[in-house]
Amino acid sequence: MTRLLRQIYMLPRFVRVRLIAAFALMGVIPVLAAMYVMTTRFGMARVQLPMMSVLLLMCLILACLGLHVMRETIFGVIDVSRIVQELMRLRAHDPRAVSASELVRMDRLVSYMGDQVRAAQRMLDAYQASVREETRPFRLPPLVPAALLRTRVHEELAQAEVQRIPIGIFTWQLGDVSAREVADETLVPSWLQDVLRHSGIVLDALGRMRPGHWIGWTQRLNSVEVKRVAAQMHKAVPATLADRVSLAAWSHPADAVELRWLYLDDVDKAER
Amino acid sequence: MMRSIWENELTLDEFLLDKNRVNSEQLAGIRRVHAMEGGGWAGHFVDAGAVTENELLQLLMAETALPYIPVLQITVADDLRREFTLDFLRTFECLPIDRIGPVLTMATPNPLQPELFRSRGTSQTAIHLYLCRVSEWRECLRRLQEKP
Repeated sequence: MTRLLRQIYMLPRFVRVRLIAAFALMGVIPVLAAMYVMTTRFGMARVQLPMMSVLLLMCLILACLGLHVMRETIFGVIDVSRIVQELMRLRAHDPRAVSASELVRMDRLVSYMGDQVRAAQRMLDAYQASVREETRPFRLPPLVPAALLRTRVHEELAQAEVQRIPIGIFTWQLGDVSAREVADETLVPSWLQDVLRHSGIVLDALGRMRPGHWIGWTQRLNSVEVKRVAAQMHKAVPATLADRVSLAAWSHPADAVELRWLYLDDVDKAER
Repeated sequence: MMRSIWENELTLDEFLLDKNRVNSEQLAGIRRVHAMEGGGWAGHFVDAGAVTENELLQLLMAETALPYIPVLQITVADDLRREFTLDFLRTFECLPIDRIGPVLTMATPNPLQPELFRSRGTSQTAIHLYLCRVSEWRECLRRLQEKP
């Protein structure tokens, strides 16, 4: 029963409400009908407890059966692919079992539902796009798998050069890294989370080059904007770490980031 | 194992709350963002910094005993690309991997979604699930989107 009720929560609110209302009605109608029959036939005084119990039990069974039928009907519409699959299976066994008009009806229904679904999707997409800025402070940028990071950075830089769309690149480095951070390459340190949340922009992606050394980028950010965002990020670094976190930012191709340079650590850079 | 996940019908938000990996205040924020942005739960929990991808993978492996699959090394067959829309894959955080006879193999960072079984699982079709990381699944989706 719990499972049945939980599945109902897949449905939109107005369908759920109607389903529960129907369940209540299915329970009430048999009770009223039986009460009417019994009181007119035997008189109210002669209706006894055992008979009432049987009556209520029957009503309950009928109501549950009705709910089950309604639920199956609704899910039959939602899971339309199952219905089509069933029709095809029946038709494969016996071509006369499913008439051509039935198939046409199904085709039209699927087209209609497809149109309704696309329209609903468009409305939901528009709403989600409108609230994206509101949810920005809650979100970290998508992580790039460590194994792919170098390739992705290379692709992004090449794409920026070819399409002449500037890309802002940011790197953050902190020497002291906890053992947990070293072990888990998907753990974004809390100081970096703070920096990202207060940067005023949404990065397209973020990745860990090595423990304590992170890189992130976002398209359509020119040199001036990159400098502005970097200044905001500097401000957002917690005071206790301010002197230990090094932050660098470029706009490519204007500042011509060299991929090999990004992967050098500070010692190598100093030597060069 | 498939059956037990399906019958349990525990969703990822409830699961992480049960495991004390997220507090009710955090969860309320994530639910709000989820309601506004749509999509799947796993991505929202990771993006909110409530749980790391590796922690989530370990928790789900321990809970479901489903195996991990490195999805970045997999190329999705053309017929499966046509069968599943990107919207569906994004919303239900899944990636079709292969279909051999009556068995459809899928990878997901969030197996606690009864809809995954409901959408394709029938008496004739069995769904085999594997686990993957959110970032790997996203990378696969990006590749699917870019592929003409």
